[in-house]
Amino acid sequence: MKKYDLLTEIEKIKSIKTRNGKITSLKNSFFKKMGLRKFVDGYGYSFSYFGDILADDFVKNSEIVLDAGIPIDFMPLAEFQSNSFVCKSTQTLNFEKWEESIQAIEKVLEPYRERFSLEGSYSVNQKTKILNDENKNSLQSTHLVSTHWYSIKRNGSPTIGDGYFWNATLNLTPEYTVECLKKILDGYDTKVTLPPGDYPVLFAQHHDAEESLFEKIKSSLVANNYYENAGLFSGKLGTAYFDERFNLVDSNMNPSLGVFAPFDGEGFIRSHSHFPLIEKGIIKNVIADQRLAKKYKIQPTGNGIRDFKSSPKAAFNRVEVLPGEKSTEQILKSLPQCVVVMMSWGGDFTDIGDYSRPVEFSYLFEFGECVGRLAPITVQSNINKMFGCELIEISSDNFFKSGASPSVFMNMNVLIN
Amino acid sequence: MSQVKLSHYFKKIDKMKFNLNQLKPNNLDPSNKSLSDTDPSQPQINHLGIDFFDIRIEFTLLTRVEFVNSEATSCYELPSLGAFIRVFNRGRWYFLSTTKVDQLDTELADLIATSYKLPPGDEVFKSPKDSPPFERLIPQGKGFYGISLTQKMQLTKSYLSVFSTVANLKTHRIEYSDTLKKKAYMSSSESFFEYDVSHGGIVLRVVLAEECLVESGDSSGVSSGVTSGVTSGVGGSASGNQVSPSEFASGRQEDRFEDGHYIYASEFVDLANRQAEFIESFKEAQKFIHAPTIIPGKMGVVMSSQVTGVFTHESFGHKSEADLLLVDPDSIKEWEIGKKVGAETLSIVDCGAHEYTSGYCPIDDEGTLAQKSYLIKNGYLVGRLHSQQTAQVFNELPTGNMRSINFEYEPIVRMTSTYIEPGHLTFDELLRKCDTGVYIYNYRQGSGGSTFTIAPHRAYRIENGKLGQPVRISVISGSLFKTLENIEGISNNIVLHSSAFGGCGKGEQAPLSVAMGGPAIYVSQMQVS
Repeated sequence: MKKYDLLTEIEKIKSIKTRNGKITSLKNSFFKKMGLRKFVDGYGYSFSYFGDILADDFVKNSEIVLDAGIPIDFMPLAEFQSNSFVCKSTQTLNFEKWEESIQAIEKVLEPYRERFSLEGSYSVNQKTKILNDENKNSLQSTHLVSTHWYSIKRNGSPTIGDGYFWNATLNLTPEYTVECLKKILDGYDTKVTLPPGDYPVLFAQHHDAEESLFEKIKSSLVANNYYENAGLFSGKLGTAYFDERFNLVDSNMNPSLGVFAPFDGEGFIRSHSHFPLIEKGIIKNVIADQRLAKKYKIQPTGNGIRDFKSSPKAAFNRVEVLPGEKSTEQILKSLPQCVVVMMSWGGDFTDIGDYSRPVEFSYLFEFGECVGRLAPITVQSNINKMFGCELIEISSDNFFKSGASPSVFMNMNVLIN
Repeated sequence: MSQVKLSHYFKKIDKMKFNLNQLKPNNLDPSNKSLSDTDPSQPQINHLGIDFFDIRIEFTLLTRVEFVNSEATSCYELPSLGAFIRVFNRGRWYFLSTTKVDQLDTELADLIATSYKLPPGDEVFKSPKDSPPFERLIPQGKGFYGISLTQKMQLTKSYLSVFSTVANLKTHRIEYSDTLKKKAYMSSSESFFEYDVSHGGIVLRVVLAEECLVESGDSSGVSSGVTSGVTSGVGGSASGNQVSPSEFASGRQEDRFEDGHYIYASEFVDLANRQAEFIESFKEAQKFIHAPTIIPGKMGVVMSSQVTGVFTHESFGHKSEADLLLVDPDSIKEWEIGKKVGAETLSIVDCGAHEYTSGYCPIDDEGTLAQKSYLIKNGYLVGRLHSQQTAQVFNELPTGNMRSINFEYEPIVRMTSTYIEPGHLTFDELLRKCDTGVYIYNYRQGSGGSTFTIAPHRAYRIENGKLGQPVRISVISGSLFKTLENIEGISNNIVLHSSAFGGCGKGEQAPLSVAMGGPAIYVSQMQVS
């Protein structure tokens, strides 16, 4: 019998969209996806199907196309154990109750509708992954991801959007949502100005704070980029490159934010969910799947990320900053001025690490008090400075007190658009 | 809901059902899968006790091949088959997306039943009138039909030779991608269509680096005092200790430039033998390795046709999507048809009818045919992009822009091919008009809002009205309204750019294939940083 491993993904999604407090649409989805790797004579052959088919039929029908294999030694699932991981919180989620919560949230948002138009999107996705092989060894995980999103518009404003709020939680609570929206909306109509110059800056939305800012670090710390001298930080393992308060990890378990990978696409089970990338400012590790680990003679790190349609590849689960000691509120109170970014798009690095990000919507805080909204600005710095000499402090929580990364306060050059 | 009534529709759907054997590329003979041979004597069903429903079934075959540093790392085909059902009843939309295409009859019945269980809503939608059936299928042997995975692998391999000509090469990557998508649609208002599209492309990416001497130190904030590293252990790890941060502050520094070049085609054969284009492109890339970083500030910007395209798409295209106006009726006053929004030379168009481009969408996902829609004409706002529903709300006409990225999602208002129409200046005249500023040749990414942003890939200084040296820029940005007003020159040539990689993102749906382009334009003032 040919050796193979088979990944099956099943998703059941329910979502509701609202506009100004009224439900406009309801949606149910069901998807089945399968990905198979066959190993023959030193080559791996990938097959995938996004559709409804029985596993046995799929395996039987996948025929090897010569020349289409990837040179790879057979690598059995790293660890076999019949496991079924179920996120505990899933058992408490009742969709009908969830609909009630949505109605309750929409009701308490009514006072804002005089000035703001709000579109809401709520979804719950139950994801099941099953990884097994020709001997029926199996790894299985099931978890729920619940996200909700508000797109905010100031009534009469000529723009397509003036703000947003995103959160991932199974516990939709009107109180929390309103508290967050107050932080975004209450100071909106008070306009303040700021001369250009260097100021403390905080990215309040975790999308902004995590995805764009760490991009250069992430691309550098994948084994092939690192060892082929293609990353900005190639050759710098062990180097104290950043401020010693800066700790960055790859986390494979943060269920509240939708990260739930008890095993990777190659069946590797990590002993710790936090894999250190930067520790006390020192570049500590690079990540590798089994193929890269073998190539560069290092150990795999549980980062063989795979979806049904492709072979595993070394990639990150979720990169997070580790918390400091003071709360975001305490740090804000200690700063005479701080630009708190609420909405920004399209920031990017040059290839040598210079960074710039236009900001559509930000508040100026003075000693912890929001004094008003700034006109559009651009914030600018360099990767080494942002997490090095210009890093002010890392908080114990974040601006919205969600499960996302803590707040990183740093000095940046503020340009007025 | 009677299944007998629905049988008319599901007979047609049956013809879209494929098994895995049929999904092999050589078996994908579109002429065998036509839905147009349905018996015309079948009774037409137009009343199912609800306001409206439609069903869209999609079959897609994606192929991906990838080489990293000459090593094959991906090679696969991904067939997918699924359906999306929309029901509008009692003031609300009810959607279902599923891979269970064998159970669409019961799924539809369940969805209709759900629509009666919940309280009615406030949405307004009138069932559109029936339209003539539409069918456009790629002839056998054309496009990407019938091309084996082996042929695609060999074509991709043939581009590995390019890298032997590239100086200062650190790493390289080739990605091949093609998509073959077939859609079938029917609605309770007796609209019916079936069509397919296919396109593909190849992108080559390189990281170039070269050491250079620096006269004095700029440690750029590198922490000091710790040094160097022994690599060992898990995942290539370091236990810390000795480093010389001053390696950046003294003597040597490695400058880098990451570059990429792609080609696009709607016929497989057109992707072959184009190595010379890549070799030429990577020669020019060498000039960027040691390029300095721009001093941030406001300055004149000349955009190439490719950058004009992304500017048009991000700044104005999204603003023209009428569904974004539904949430706030007050904003319609700010965006009234007939309002002057730009220079008299400025005209912006969206049109899904351009064949052989990645924006080709002959009919949208609710059965409206593609058309040329002027959004701005001679500086005045004259139109916006519509679905059937938004057209009804605004008392305007649908424009064929209701699109979804695949069967997982409901269609929403999206662009197709969006571009600025040409002006009268030559490119050299644009440069002279700018005098001092930057020329943006291509871009890594762009995003929109009231402030739009473009991250340039290659940029050059403009000095004394002529192209100067390469320069590094993180982003250019500007306010939509100010920038439209600040367009002071439009060149006389137009190029529509297509890509098989990436596309447009809106809400949860990305990437959607679109095309964008136009002439080169001169904007008198933008934020460059």
